[in-house]
Amino acid sequence: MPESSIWTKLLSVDRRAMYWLLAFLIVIPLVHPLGFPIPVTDTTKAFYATVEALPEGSVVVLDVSPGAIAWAEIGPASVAATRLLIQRNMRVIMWSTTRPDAPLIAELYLLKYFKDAGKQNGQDYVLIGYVPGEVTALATLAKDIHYPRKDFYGTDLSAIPMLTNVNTARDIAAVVLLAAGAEGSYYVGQWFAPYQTVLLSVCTGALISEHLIAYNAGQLKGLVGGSRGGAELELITGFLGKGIGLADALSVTHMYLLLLIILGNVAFFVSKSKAGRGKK
Amino acid sequence: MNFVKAVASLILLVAGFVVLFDYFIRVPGLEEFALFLQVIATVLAAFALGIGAVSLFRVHVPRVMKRGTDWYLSAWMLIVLVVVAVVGVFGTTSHPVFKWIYSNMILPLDATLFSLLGFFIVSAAFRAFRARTLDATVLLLAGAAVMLLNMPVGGAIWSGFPVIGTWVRDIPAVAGYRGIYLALAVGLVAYSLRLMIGYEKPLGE
Repeated sequence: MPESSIWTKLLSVDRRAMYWLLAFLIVIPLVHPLGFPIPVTDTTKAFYATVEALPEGSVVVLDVSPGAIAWAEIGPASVAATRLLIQRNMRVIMWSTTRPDAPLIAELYLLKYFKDAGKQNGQDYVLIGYVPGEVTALATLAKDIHYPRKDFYGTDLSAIPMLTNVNTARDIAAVVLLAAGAEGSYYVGQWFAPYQTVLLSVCTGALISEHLIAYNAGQLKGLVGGSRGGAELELITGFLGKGIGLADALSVTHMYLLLLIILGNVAFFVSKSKAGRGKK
Repeated sequence: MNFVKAVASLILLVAGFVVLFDYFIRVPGLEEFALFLQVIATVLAAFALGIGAVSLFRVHVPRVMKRGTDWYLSAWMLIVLVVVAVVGVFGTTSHPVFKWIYSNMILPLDATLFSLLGFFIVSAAFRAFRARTLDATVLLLAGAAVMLLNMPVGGAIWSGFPVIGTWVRDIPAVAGYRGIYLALAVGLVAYSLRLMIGYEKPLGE
C-alpha cells in the first residue's frame, strides 16, 4: 500500500462518522458537565454590577426577542438574567416588537420563575406580548407605554396596578434586552439617545461584535454574549442551570472543530504534495 | 405629477419632518402629533403581516390549482397557515390549542432546523476550510482565534488564546461593523431625505 493512502482515506472518511461523533460530544457534557474552567468576562461582570446597582423595586423592561432558534443558545443566560431581576424584586414589563412568538417563549421559559418566587401578574410583572412595528413600535412605546392598550391576556393596561405610574421611557430604570436580531441598535436609537435609558444586553454569539460597539461607547452598560455568557452569568449570580453544561459542550465541540480543520488541512496538503511528486 | 401622488408626497413630507423634529426638539403639541403618527405606523405594520399572508396565497394557490412542482407541499403550507391563523385569530394567541401547536410543532421544528447547522459546519470544517490562499489563511486563523476565545477552556489551554481572540473580535471585527453601521446610517439619512422631498421613488413604485 502506498504511504499516502492514510491521508487519502482520511479525506474520504464518511461524514456520518463525523456527525455521530459531534452528537456524542454535545450530549455528554449536557448530561454530565465536565467542569472546565469558565472565567467570567468584564462585560458579564458589568451586566451583573449594573443590575445590582438598580434600586430594589424598580420597573425594568425585559425585551424577549429570541425565538426558538436563538433560545437554544441564549436561553440559560436569559433565565439567569430573569431570575436575577426577580431576586432584586424588580417589577418587570415583558414585550417584543420583533418576534410574534415572544409571549409564548416568555410563558414557556420565564413566567414559571416569577410564579415560583410568588410574584403576582399585574403587581410584579406584566406580559404585554408582541407589539408589531419593530423600531417604530419601540419609539412609540418610549413615549407611551400604554399604547398597546391590552396585555397578552386581554387585560386593559390602564387596569394593571404596576403600570399606574409607568407611562414613558423616563419611568423605566433599565431595559434588559434578550436579543437575537437588530433590537440592540433600535434601543440605542430610540431609548438610549433620547432618554438615556440604561440598556443591558443578553445576545447571541453572532451579535457580540455588533453589541460591543455600543458597549464600548457606553450605550450598553453590560453584555452577556452567547452560550459562554450564559455560563458566566449563571456562575456570577449563583443561579446554576443548563448554561454550565452548554459551555462545556461549546468547549468540546469547538476543540473537535479545530481538530477537524487541522486534520483536513494537513491531509489535503500532504496528499497534494505526494500527488505532485508522483507526477514528476 | 398627478394629484394623488402629490397628496401622498405631501403626507410623507409632513409626517417625516414632524417625527424627525420631534426626535430632536421638544415642542408642546408636536410631541402628541408625532406620537399619533407613530401609532398609525405601527397599525400599518400590523397590516403588513396580513399582506404577507395574502401574498403567500397568491403564490401558492395557483401552484396547487395547476398541480405544479411539489404542489402538495404548497397545499400543506396553506392548510397549516389557515389552521394556525383561525386558532390564533378566533381563540387568540393565548388559547391552549395555539400554545399546543407552538410548543409541540413550531418550537421543535425551529430548533431542529437550526441544529442541523452544526452538522453542516462539521462537514465544512473538514472539507472546505482550507488555507489555499493568503486570504483564506487569514480568514482561517481569525476564525480559529475567535473560536478559541468563545470556548471557555481556551484560556486554560494557553493564556495567550483569549488575548489574541479578544484583539481579533474587538479591533478588526468591531472596526468593520462600525464602518458598516456608519455607512448604513448616512445612507439611510440620505435616502429618507430624498424620499421626503420627492427626489426618490418609494419602494414598490
